[in-house]
Amino acid sequence: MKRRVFLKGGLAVALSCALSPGVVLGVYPKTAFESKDVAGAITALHGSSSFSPSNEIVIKAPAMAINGKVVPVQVISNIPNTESISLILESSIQPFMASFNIYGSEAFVSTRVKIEQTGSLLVLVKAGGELFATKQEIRVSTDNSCRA
Amino acid sequence: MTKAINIRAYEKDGIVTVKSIIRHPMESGFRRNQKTGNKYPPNFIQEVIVQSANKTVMEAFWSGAISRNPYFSFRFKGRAGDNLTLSWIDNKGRSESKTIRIL
Repeated sequence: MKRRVFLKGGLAVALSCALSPGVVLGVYPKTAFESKDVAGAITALHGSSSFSPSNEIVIKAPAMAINGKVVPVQVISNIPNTESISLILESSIQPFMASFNIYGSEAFVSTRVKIEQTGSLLVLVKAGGELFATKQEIRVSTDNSCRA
Repeated sequence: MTKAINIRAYEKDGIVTVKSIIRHPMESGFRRNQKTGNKYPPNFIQEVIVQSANKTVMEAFWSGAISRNPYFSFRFKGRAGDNLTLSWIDNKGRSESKTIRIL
């Protein structure tokens, strides 16, 4: 275990040296990722679990995913001063999936996620110190029984 | 180093679009071996940092919920001709980075 910590530390230093000086790296939000419920994850990440619904956040994801292992998700936040975008899946054992820190005015991210069970994808946007969110339900076909 | 990062970046009207695919197993730690019943140990990318012109333009924190061989795309205000560096580090401490030129 000690060796692992040492290795990790060494590599982290090596990585930060490889990056240009003066860049402050964020801390990996471990407690948020390990949280078992949505409210706990949001609190661990942003200090508060209250957010207001917003229709300025655009989620582009399939209503029905054929393959739950690769579900494309695209998020555009039209809220000014967007600082971060987080993806939270309510049906997952560890709901917090990913977080993206935005530097600048373009709040657009696109990636592919694993969704095992049908559930709501909550996209949380932090802008100007406040939290906004939009939800979308994504159904997942578990086998070949449904070919819609 | 294996060639695990595939990345492109192009500028249009002052906005740079970055598209990348990183080759990585992204094992969540919850998946079980069907034969033995043991869980596969977690092995996923925790942090992705992208820098351009000595500035951080994107910082992403990931869990094992991101798909295998992750695809990642985003946009930022930038210039063609600048360098762009994408670096990642996983939960085992492995890391890699790649620098390209914005087209």
